[in-house]
Amino acid sequence: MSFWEKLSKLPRFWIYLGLLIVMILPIVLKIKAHPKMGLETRLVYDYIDHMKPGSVLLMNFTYGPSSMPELHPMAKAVMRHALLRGVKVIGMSLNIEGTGLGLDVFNSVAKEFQEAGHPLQYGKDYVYLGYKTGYAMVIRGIGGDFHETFPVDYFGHSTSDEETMPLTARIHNYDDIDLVIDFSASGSGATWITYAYQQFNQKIAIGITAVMGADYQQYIRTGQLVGLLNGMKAAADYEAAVAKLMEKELHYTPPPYATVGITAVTWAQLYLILMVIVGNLAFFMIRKQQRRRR
Amino acid sequence: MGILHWLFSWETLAAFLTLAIFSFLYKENPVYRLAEYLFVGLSAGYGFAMTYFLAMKPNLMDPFIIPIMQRLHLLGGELLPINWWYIIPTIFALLYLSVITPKYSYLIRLPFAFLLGLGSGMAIPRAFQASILEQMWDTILHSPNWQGYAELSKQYEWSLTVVFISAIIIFVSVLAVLAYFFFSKEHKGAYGKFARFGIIVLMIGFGASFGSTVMARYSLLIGRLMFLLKWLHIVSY
Repeated sequence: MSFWEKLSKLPRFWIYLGLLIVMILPIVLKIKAHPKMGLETRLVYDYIDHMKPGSVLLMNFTYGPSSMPELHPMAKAVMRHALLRGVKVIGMSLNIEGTGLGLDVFNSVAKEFQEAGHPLQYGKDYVYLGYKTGYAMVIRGIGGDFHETFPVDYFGHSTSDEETMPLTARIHNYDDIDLVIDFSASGSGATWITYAYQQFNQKIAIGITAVMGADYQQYIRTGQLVGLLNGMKAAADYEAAVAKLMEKELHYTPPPYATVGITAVTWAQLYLILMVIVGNLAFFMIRKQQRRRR
Repeated sequence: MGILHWLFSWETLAAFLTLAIFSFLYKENPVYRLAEYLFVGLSAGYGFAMTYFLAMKPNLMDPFIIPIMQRLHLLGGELLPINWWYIIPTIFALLYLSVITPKYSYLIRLPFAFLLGLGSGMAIPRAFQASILEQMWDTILHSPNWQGYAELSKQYEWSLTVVFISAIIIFVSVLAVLAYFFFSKEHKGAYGKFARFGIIVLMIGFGASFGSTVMARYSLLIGRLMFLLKWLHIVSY
């Protein structure tokens, strides 16, 4: 049996083992990527960066634990960025799985700001509304009457109480919300475009898993989206840029996640390309050898 | 004590279940099945509990069912007001259960018809605008002096020439793909070559989607690997 024949019959175990090593190494050695921010990501970053202090960002969480590695660091980075710019942040969820994950994003970012010596005030700087059933009806409902759609927040506080919840008390509909950003592993981005943008002309950005990236490019070009955060690459770009800002302005370094993860993804992609090349090479070499034997 | 605490923690259970799922890579086994069934059961239970407390309780039980039960002396506590309007959605919700009795199962058509009518009425005009008309408008070539190209050029930091070339590529590609799916004319000669170009464009699109999908799947694996390494105290993030 020739070298190429042996190579083509290599058990899958060794290929998986190689992939595992290639992925673990950058994580263990904490090799951070220094990615150049992609265009769609920059559009979102620039938009939030230029939002006036006091303006309102509505973050929607429509993803489950299976999409956490891509969307969770992305959502945290966006929230850090908004709060650094003095933008008020409201969170909500249109699916049950996303409710707890959204709460985790809000709690962990609030904790980071506390640790950095800039404590945030719930009700004034950020509010978490939690889950509301109805999907498209909720999106449409916010445009009609925000307080009717969300009479209470996740913890049961009245959203129209001016003393404890001044942030939500001043919001009546989309006119009072400057940007909606939807973190989604489903098609909820298109629902936001269909109802909030088309009907109320609400500015929208979306953060999605890389699987859906190609499907949403069209909405940026047509101007229906402010920008697009696409998969772990966008999460890494955004996380790296906001980490720099936080180090500069708060002298605090948030924990890296996507910036380390994207290095592992890059190495894994290179490994995959190498395997495809080697596999094809083996195929052609074996065919050549068989022809010679004949 | 430290090791025992680590061994009997929720993180260890999560790590065991993660490894149990990964064991499928070797072959189908009882440990994988245990983790799979546990996941399905937990997901269903969690989903039901969350749906009850976050959807049914505030939208049906608190404003309508509980106050009625209080008045029937089935529940105690301070009397809550009855919101009689809720009787309509309650009846509609109960009609869904009619499917369990063959005699009355036809009644399920009523809530379905209502939801389909409402959903279609709300979605069709706006979805048509968002996903078809806007895309058509963007595909049509228009004069480079028009504001759209200037805005695009500014947004992408591309020169007007590049934006215009990009617009031509999109225009020709869309026509080619449409030509490929036009079966009333035989795909022969120049038309056949144009349709062939359409399938190449489609393949490029599928390739881009596949590449992104592979990246997304790697990202998910990395999430689990990072969790396992954190569990083993090899990394701290």
